[in-house]
Amino acid sequence: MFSNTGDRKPSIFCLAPLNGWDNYQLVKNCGALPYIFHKEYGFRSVMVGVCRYASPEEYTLLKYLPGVEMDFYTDSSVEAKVKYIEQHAWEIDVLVLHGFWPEYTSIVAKYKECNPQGKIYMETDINSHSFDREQWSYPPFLQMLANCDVIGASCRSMQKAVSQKWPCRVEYLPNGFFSFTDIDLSTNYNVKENIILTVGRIGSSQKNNEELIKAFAKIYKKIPDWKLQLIGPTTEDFTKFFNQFCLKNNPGLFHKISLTGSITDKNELMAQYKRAKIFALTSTFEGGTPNVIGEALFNGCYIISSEIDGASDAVNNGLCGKTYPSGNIDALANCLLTACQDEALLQNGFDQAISYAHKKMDFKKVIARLYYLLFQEDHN
Amino acid sequence: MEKIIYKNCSYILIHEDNSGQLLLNAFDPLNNHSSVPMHYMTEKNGQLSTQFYWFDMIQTVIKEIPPSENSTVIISLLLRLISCLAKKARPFNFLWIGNEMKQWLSPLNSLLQEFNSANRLYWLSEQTIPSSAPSIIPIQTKITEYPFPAQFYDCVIIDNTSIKTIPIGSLIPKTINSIVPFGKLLIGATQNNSISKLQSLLETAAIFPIDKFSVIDSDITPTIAQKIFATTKTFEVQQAKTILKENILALKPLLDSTSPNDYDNLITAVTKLENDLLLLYPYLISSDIKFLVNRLKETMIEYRLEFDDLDQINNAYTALIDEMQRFGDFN
Repeated sequence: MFSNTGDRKPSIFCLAPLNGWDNYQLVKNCGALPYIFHKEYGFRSVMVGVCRYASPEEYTLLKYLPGVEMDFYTDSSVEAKVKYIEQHAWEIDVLVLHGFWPEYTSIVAKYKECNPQGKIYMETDINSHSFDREQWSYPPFLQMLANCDVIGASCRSMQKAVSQKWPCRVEYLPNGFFSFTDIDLSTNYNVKENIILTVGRIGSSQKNNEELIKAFAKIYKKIPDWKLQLIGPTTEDFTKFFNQFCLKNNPGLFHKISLTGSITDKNELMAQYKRAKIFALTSTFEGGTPNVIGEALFNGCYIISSEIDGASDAVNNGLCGKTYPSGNIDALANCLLTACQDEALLQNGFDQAISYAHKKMDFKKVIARLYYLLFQEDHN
Repeated sequence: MEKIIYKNCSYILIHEDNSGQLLLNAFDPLNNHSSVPMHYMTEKNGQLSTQFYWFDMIQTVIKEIPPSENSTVIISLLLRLISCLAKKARPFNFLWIGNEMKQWLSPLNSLLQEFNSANRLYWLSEQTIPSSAPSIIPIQTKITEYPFPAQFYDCVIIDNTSIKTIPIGSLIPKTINSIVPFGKLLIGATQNNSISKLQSLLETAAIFPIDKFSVIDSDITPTIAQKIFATTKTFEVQQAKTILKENILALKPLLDSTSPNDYDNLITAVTKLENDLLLLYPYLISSDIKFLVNRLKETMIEYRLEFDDLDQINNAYTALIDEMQRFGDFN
């Protein structure tokens, strides 16, 4: 397979979408992919983008990806990216693109021109909103699709829709869970507490966390032994909303909700998932199945999710969770109340979630399938 | 006519009969398999706003329809026609049977062109239809004498102006004969027509009665189609379909008898099937078949990597065969 690389290690280069990698993306699927290629398959793995910080040292979460390199464009212009590809194409065996952005048409064309044998994986991370706007019959876009060896969608509904529409093969490659620090994933329902958990950028408009607070406010008196926990960096606007909503308008609610802030230590974060019986996701949209869903499933949380494109995948078609129409606070409150009052449902959900997670959300398995799709062989 | 809010972001056209609902479904981005985006974003003074592409196009057509007792029926039929266009990115052949002067032909032509330049709307009328629009082909003849081609149109529309003047009982069998399997027959009927008589002429008809009028919306199932159709597909496409079907059927015994370690050749064969299907896809009525072949390949790779068992492969294979039989694409 890599006879053309000579003494050189095979390599995979992952390009950042638009303006470079954020630190937090290193410990999500974006960082897990090159790390697994490095750790499991012996690849040289490089994450490329514009440096978003004052110095590269500020990518502190790179410590979770030992052996993965970072490299940087001179600036964020398309010209700089194409020039980078021109200079490095000879040493890139697999090029990974995240999202589908107009600049990729030039990047893909240049890469294939300079290294026709090279492989391209485009992880579209597509959602129905961006999907609908894409003028896919635009010839350069069609050419780009034709040049990609593997095109992935991270949830089943988007895979199906894209497959029906774009003239290319589309693979289901979900954003599964990967344990960067060999965390002990064994868990037991008996250690769980009456906690509804959410994790993410708390207060961002996409995550729509206000909906969860408002729904919990409607039911918390009926489930007095339950608490709501929100983990993640919190926006100023959300803090204002929280203080106004809880302190002034619903003072009894304040002590039932904890805003934990950001937890970057993966062991500590997993411990929080293990404690929670329910994981709630209120996003208005997501690229597919978000990373937090894999984490929650591996830890046996019963999932309650808004109807994002990947909602059916998140709850395994209702076997380990329930969905509600985004924006419908009453429906969310009803889902939460029903689950909180049904111990058998949660326990069964726990078993289903663990089994489903190991089968379908194990990112090492997802990447093993990607490897097979790229090279038509099992690495082992 | 009213507007309703679609999800969190869109306004769409909805009509008082269920044609609005059909269009609403077509407006769901996941159901829009045409090459025309449902919406696009614009920016003015740093503010993003959503514009609705189809909505604007449909409005342009509808505003050209003069208000009359027939206009509601015509609009309903048009909305259904547009929801057909959104189902798949392939050229559609429509046949509109009706006698009134159509001021809205030109904007309708633009809309058809936008979806696919190969879309064709054949206009069967006993009156002169002046049209220089490339997507609209006038056929001026006595409707009862028109030699309907077999299995040619994706959708035939008989508007209510025709129903008043045409012996509908003899027309319906001819039109059914001219529709491809899983094509549509739309009839704009007024209350003056005998709906039950019309329904009895169709084996499967769903009727949506409201005060002023009804539209009969009938799927032409393969069973009906096979009774009366002779295939008219081009030889090359038919041959490619036959080979593809044979290859899919030949897979079955191999799937069961091959050990995981020897699956590589089988997976290569299915990948080739997928590639062949990409070329055939525009000629197929089923929208799911490409997805289902991919699903089969996915289960095979998981079996090869020993992540899953044979049951998953068999389930995926059965779903694929069911889809092939259901739409009759490979009959």
